[in-house]
Amino acid sequence: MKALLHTSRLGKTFGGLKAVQSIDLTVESNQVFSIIGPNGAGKTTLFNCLSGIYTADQGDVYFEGIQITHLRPHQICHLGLARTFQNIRLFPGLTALENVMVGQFHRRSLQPMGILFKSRNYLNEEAVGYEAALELLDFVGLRDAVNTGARNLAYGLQRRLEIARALATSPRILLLDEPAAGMNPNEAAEMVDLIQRLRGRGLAIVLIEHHMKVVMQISDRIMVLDHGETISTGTPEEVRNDPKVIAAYLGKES
Amino acid sequence: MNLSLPPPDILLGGLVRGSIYGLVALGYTMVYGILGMINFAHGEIFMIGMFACIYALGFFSTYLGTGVATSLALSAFVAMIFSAGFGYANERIAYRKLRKAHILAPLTSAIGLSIILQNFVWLTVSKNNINFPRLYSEPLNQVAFTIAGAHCNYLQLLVLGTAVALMALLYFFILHTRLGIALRATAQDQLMAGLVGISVNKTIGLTFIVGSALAAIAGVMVSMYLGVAGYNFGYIWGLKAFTAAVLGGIGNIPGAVLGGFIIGMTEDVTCFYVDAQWRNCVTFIILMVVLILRPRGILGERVADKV
Repeated sequence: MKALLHTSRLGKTFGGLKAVQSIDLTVESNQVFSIIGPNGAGKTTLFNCLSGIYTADQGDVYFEGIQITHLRPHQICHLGLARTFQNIRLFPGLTALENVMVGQFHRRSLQPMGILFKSRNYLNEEAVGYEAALELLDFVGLRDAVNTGARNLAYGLQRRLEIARALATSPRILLLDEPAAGMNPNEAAEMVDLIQRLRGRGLAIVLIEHHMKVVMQISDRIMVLDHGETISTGTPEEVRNDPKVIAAYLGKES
Repeated sequence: MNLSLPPPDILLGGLVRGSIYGLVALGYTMVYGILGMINFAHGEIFMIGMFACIYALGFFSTYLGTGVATSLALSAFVAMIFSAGFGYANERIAYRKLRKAHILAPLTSAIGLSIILQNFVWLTVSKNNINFPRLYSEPLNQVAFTIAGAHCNYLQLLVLGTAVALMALLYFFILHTRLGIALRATAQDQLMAGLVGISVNKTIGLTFIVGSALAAIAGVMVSMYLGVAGYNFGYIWGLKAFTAAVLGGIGNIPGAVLGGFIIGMTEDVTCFYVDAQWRNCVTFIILMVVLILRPRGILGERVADKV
């Protein structure tokens, strides 16, 4: 059985700076895998390498055993990997519904003749897509904001919309970059609930998060990065008690 | 100087001319919207449409013996295919690799391409203006109807009707179809569009194809309207259409149409009040004044939209 997402000795260098190096991670299906570490540890760089924004200069990334190291972002998306951003990246000029519909776009068989002549297939697909988009907006709690412009949504709702758009691409694995950033404890609890429900849909989740409470509560496995390197991997319990992790977070005495 | 109101015929002429500028301006504005660059070779795409249509007319009438209307429709289609092919090839060859380069690189590439295409047609097709076969345009020169004192002939009706229909179709396509939504998404954030599974290259290619096909139709209509086509027609028509796009607010689709009508009207009204030879001066003076008052054009979007 191939792991859903797997990297071997993954590394990315910017100029002389090793942003991440020798990362080995394995995410199984339907698992919640968290990546934590101090600011600048390389967490987002790692996400960028996994989603195809950056091409790693060492090592490889595999998705269900398929090498995806050098694929373009849209190809990786087609295989079933979607992500969100730390600083939300919606299409600001589109409505909530349109943002979700963009996510569905690549799953559809757009035949020009079918569209021109409104073939039954096309109309069916259109109706199914529309329903699915509404269902996703409902799922993340945006039912009432379907036709609101993305830029006019409240911050918390924008985060949720970003998740709905990622879901619309029908991913097997979802990369969430600090989904609870800037949220109060109440909103963070709602985000935990949403992530649990995402897992309930059969998704695997890779999570970057600073809210330790959130991380410890929902992760199956945790990986700790510091200065671009893995310093610990294990269950929440194991990681919490790892002296190297404690040192990285509290500062080493030199 | 004549101070009476311009006669309705003049206004109608301006409207017809303006609709063609608007159609060409759409290509400039769409490419700008998605790539943030000005495709200065777009005027040449328009010119290639003219030539493709005239040659196709000759071919269809000589070898297939099709009737007037059928030949016209088929030739316009051939013109669209030709222009779309050239437009797509331009993007693929001259712009794609420069997408991440400094803004001056694709711009200069576009200017170079414009000169290359012009010279290419000059050298290989015709150094002189060629006539649009009168057989096809003559029957359309009869007055179709008179509205508010303006005598509208079938040709004007055809030009105006086709242009407005295509503009409406494009607007609907961009606003209400999934492909249109994907196009807008790509224009707003290319990287993000890729991450949600849109093939950015295909989307940009499609933009060039659609814009070029519209320019081809404009080219066909201009050569019918004027009765001639020349290798250098793309230059001034292209520049005027570009002006229309900027005037209306570059990147904005209704803006391009509005800009087109304003420029067309200005020209014909200038011809009436001043003199035909002054029309370019007056048109561009108006452009400058509008831009000084509204630097982003009449319907220009706030810069914040392009983040």
